[in-house]
Amino acid sequence: MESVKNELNSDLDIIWKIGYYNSRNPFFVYSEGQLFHYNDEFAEFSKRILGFEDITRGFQWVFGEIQAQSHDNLKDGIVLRSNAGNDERVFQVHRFTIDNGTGTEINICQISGEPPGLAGYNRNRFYNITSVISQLGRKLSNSYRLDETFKIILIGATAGDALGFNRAFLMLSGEGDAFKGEIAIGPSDGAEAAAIWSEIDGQQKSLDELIDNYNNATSSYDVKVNELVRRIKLHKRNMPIPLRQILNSHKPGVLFKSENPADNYLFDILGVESLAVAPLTVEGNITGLLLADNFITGRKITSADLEILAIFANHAGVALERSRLYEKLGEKIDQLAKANNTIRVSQQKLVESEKLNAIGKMASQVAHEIRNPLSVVGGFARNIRRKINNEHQFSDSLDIIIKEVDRIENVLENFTSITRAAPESKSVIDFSELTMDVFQLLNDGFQNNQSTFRFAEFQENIKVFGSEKQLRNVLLVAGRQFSRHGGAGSDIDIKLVIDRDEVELSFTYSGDHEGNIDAKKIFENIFNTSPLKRETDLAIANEIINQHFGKLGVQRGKNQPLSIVINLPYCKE
Amino acid sequence: MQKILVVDDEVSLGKLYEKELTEEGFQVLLAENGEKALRIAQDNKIDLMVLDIKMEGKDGLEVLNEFRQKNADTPVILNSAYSTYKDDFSSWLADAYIVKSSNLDELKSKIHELVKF
Repeated sequence: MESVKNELNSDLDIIWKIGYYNSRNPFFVYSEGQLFHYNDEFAEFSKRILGFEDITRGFQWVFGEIQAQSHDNLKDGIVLRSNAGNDERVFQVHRFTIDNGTGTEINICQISGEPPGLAGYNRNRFYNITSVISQLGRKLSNSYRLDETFKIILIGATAGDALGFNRAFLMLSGEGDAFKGEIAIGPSDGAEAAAIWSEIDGQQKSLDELIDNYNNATSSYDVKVNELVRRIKLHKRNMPIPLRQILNSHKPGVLFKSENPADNYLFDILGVESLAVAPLTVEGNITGLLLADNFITGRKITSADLEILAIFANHAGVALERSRLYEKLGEKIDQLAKANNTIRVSQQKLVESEKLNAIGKMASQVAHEIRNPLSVVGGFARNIRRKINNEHQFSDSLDIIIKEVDRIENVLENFTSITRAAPESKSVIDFSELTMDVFQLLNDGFQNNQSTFRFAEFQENIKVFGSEKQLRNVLLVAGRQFSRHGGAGSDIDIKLVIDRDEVELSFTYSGDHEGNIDAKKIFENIFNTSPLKRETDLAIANEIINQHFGKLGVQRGKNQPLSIVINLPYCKE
Repeated sequence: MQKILVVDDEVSLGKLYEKELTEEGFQVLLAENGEKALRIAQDNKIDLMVLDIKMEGKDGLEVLNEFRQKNADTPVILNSAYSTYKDDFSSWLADAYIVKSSNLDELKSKIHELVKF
């Protein structure tokens, strides 16, 4: 009996063990057409293999056939023919005596017809497959890195103990309706396949070890398949109908090379006649496709392969989405860390600025109190000095007084310059409203002369964080300076937009008229920060914009009109 | 002779300006606060005003604003110890802004430039 069983249990046979019965532990008892018990395995066999949804009918058919062909013949095996679906399937039934002759085991072996799928594998192979799928599921559920998840999916599809495909290709849904090839695994020809497989066999590695050591071992072989996969881009609108049907069903299927060359895009790239396609889904959405083929061995893709692929694809789809979300979360955390760092630096700057502001205010008050009497002393000294000649006994003394007063005045000028760009209290302000307000005011003020400001491009509700008073003055200074250099009759276009998280405000001379523009003078005014110069309006504006973490500059491209551009950080909240 | 109104709450400074500008050939009127300056400007036809900003009561920018409503053509020079007022748009109503200094050459030069003979 053992020799028969061993033969029947070999990997080449597909055996359905429907159960056994004995007096102590009956799995089922069938007596005069009456069904008392049946096990899950027989229920599955009845439904999936024989095509009887009603299990009782399945029993009736099996045992009707057995009885019709003589019960005694079971030992040598009898033949059952089933017409489930459109395929005729032929089974051979054997009975073995077990438990010292007190029990009977009945095995049913399919000997022809469409393979019965996963349910038809023998128990050892079935356990082996479920064990591998379980290991893969565990590996996938512990994987949070996208590249690690890709690797497990591809190794899972090609691992010999489970699906055992020769090659696997992963495609991800990208922009629009397209799936784009991402990564692949597998040999590019027979020689490479032999090298990879002998390497793996020689090492006798478990699936875990195979996955963990993948990067150091066989990945160097996958260069060509990865080049192939990156060429693949599938647009849903251009997909051949069979592929579209697979996508619509959300279940794996086999695609065959078509007679219509237009439908053979994938086959032309991959160089095979058939391939398995498994949609990777999460909550009803297809997030990717797993393609697998037997490019080297040419082994037929069976319905059992598809069933395992379906189970595996479920794990893979969820893992893929989780890894993607985890990666996005990582990016958000990085952004948050950067934002926190920026806030911390800004706070430090703010504290420093506030200190500077307090010092500046005090300096300004002290300077004012000193400057007035100093002007009086120095002024009268100069007045007297003008009225006496160099020979006068007090002329040298007066010259010294005048010189020292000048010196103190210079010190005061330097001292008070600290206060010029001192920040005021800041808050979130509507920069669009402020800009509109200022330039309408400037237009009203310049009605009879100088330039006219026009809003060429204007985005509303742009918020910035800063001092409204200081920024208002910056706009007034910059606008007035620009207008002054443009001269009467010039038009200035104002553009206020958000560009890459920055607010950009620019004034540009429009049309052919650029008036008496002296770009050099504008530059000098912007970048001259000497406290002793009188024309420092734009220099102050520049300082204020710097205090707001922005930039102020003049731009002029070749054959382009002159522009003043102010950039400020955009305040989203 | 052109009349120049000097508005400053520092009496000594007023006296210096009076002396210097008189020697330049101007008639100088003095006011030590904003209210008095506006009254003098109303009662006299002045040719130019030299105006301090930071004063008790009405400050120089308020005086400038009120004065401008009735005297659009009379030049005004803002003369302050604070250079920061240059950033204030209100100060742009003035014809010039000169920071106080013991050297009055710049102020006198601007007065000559603005006063119409």
